[in-house]
Amino acid sequence: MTRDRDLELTLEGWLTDGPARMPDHVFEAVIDRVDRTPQRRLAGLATRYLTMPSNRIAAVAATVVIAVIGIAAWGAFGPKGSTVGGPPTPSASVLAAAPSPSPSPAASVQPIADGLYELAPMQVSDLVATINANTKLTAAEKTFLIESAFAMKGGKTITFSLDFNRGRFVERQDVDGAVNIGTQGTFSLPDDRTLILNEQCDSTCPPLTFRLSATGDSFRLQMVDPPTKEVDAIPVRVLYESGPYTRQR
Amino acid sequence: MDRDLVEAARSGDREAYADLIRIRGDRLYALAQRILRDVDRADDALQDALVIAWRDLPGLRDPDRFDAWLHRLVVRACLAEATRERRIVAHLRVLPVDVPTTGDDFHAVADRDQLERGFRRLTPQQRALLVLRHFEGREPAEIAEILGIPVGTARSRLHHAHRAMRAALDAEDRAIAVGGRPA
Repeated sequence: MTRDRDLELTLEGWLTDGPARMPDHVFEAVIDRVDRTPQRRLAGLATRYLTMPSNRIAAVAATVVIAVIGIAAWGAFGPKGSTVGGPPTPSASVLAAAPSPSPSPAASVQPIADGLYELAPMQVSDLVATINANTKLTAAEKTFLIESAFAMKGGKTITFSLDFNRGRFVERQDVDGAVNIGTQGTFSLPDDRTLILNEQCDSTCPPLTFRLSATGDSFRLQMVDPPTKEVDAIPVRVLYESGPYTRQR
Repeated sequence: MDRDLVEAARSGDREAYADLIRIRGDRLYALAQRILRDVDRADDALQDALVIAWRDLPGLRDPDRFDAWLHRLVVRACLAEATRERRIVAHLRVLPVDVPTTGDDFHAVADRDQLERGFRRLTPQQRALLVLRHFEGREPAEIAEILGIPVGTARSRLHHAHRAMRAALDAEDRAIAVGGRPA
C-alpha cells in the first residue's frame, strides 16, 4: 500500500513539471481554423440518442437479435430448406424485419437518386411558435432548439435540404440565405423502403434508420424507433418527417 | 459568466468561443502535453480538438457540461494522435519546463528520465488515465465521464495503469542495474 502511495506521489510530482502555458501560435492557429469552419447545427442527434435509458437500449438490441435469429431460421428452415412438418411460421415482427427470400428486380433499383432534395420552406415564426407552445420542453430546451440547433432566431424563412452524393449525405439548413451544415456522414439504402444514415461524429454513433417512401423525384421519411425525449424528437420530426423532400437538381 | 459565453459560442459567436479558449487553453494544453509527451503532437491534438468543439458545439444541449465535454474531446484527440504513425525520433522536441524545479540534482534528473521512459512504455489510454488522475486530480467518476466509460471500468483501468507504470519502472530499474540503457 505504501509502495502504491509512493508511486502516486511520484507521479503527481513528476507530472507537475512541464509546460503550463498554451503557446500563442496554437491559439492563433485554432482561431484561424475556427474562422473557416462552419458549425454543425443538428450534429450529434445520434450521439444524444445514445442517452436513451439502458432498458430501452436492451429492448432495441433484443429486437435486433430476434430479427437476426428469425432471418437465420427463415434461411435454414424456410420453404426451400424444410422437408418435415412444413415451414415454421415466423412471427409478424420477424416477417417485417426479414428480407424477402426472393427479392424482386425492382428492389435493386436505387429508390433515391443522387442529388439535392429540399423540404418546402417554413416560416421561422411558425416553427418558433410551435416550439414555444410545446409544454414538454423546458425553457432551456426551447432556447437550445431555436438559437442553437436550428439557429433561426430573428430569421424569416428556414429551408432544410438533404444532399446525397456517392454514398455520402450532407444536411443543410438555410435561414434567409445563411447556410449551415446540420449534420453529415454516409448513407445506405439496403432496400427500396429503408434509408440508413450514419452521422459523422467523434465517437461511434448508432445508425439512424428510416422507413422510406419514394415517389418519382420526391420521398418521405419516418424514423424507426425515434427518440423519446421531446427535445431530441423535435429535430427528427421537423428535419426528417415533415416531408416530402423534393429533388432540386 | 462562462455559461453565457458557452451559449453565445453555441449560437455562432466566434469571439465568445475565443474567450472560452483563452480561459481554458493553458490547462488543456498542459493536459495534452502530459498525455502525449511530445510538443508537436500536443499542438496538433489540441488544435484538432478545439476546432471539432467549435464545429459540434451547437449539439451540446447543456452548457454546464461544456468543460467535461471539451476535456473528452481533447483526450480523444490525444489518443487519436498517439495511435498515428510515430514520427522520427529525431523530430521529437524536449518538453520545456515553465516552472523551475528545486533540488534538481543528478539523481532527480535520473529519476525524471526513468519516469519519462517508464511512462512512454504505457499505452496512450493508460497515460491518459494517469494524467487525469494525478495531474488533474480527478476522481474516477469524473474520469469515467470524460472517457465515456462506466465508473467501475474507470477504476479497473486506473488500477491496471498503476500496475503497468510500476512494472515499467521496475523494468527500467533492471535495465539500469545491468548497466544497459533502455530504448
